Amino acid sequence: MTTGENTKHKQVAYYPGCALEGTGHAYNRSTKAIGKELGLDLVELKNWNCCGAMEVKNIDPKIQTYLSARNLSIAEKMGFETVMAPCNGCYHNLKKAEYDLAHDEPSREVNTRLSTKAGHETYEAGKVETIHALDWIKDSIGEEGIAKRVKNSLKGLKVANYYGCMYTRPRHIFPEKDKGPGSESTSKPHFMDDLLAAAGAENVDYPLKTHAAAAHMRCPTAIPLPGWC
Amino acid sequence: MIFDEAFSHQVFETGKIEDGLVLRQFFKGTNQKLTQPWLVALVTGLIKRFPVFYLIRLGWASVFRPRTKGWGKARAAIEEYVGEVEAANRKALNLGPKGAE
Repeated sequence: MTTGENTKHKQVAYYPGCALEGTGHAYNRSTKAIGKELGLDLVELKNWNCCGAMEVKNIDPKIQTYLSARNLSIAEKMGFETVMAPCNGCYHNLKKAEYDLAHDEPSREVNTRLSTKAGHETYEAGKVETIHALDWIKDSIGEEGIAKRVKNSLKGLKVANYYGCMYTRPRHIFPEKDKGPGSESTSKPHFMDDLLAAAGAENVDYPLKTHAAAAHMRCPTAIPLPGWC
Repeated sequence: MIFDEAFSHQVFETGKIEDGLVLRQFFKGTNQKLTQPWLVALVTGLIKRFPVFYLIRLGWASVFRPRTKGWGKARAAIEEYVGEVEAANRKALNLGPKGAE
């Protein structure tokens, strides 16, 4: 159980991403409302752009790296060391860009080239940490903090927590995970379970919690896939 | 790939995407009707529940498309890079310049 004494994430840069500006707007509003209620500041990135999603990666993965790196460079310019991305896809892409820029020379070259021509600072790996909304609440408030603030207990609610694949895979882009007690796990993630349990919910074992939803594959086939989250 | 191209084109063009436009472009590019049963069910469900603010938000975004301010230089840089990569790929595959076939 975390106590939420970490003040590092009390104020973070906020990257909503395209989905939260459109069809996922409810998630955007609820994230901001939670931040306000918990006394956590979210400062939205100025002039952010799409992270590249999965589609740009299919055209050219280095462009996706650049698109995500541009957002990280904005966070750095705004003076932040941490950016929070509540969308699983955006979170994954920012983490992947961070990894690629640290380990892949061709990705660094393309990022430098595009950043220079676009007229903004070239982002270098290691300057900004990307976190998920779950990290944000877990680190800054923690289960004890959540339990203290509960107004309407979730007691009686059974929850199957679905994390999806982008939150956990590939594991090498999440170096902070799988570090033992207190850290998140890529094979059996539990941060959402922990927070909901603190709010009174009963978590049930859900074997598909890290399975892919095939989200971006549903449109090309124009067939809704069973179990799509 | 058509979906990826429609999506990416919009990102390269404006820096952001608008979900509805991506779908419309994809259906147009694949000669499919916009009235897909699942899409009709989705829209009908939304109208039945009538989340006013949400619908206004979606409608607003479809008219005033979201875009990143000052995106022009980034767009030019990306398009130049994409053009170079595509030309190199076509050359490697002996396909000749784009549009020549």
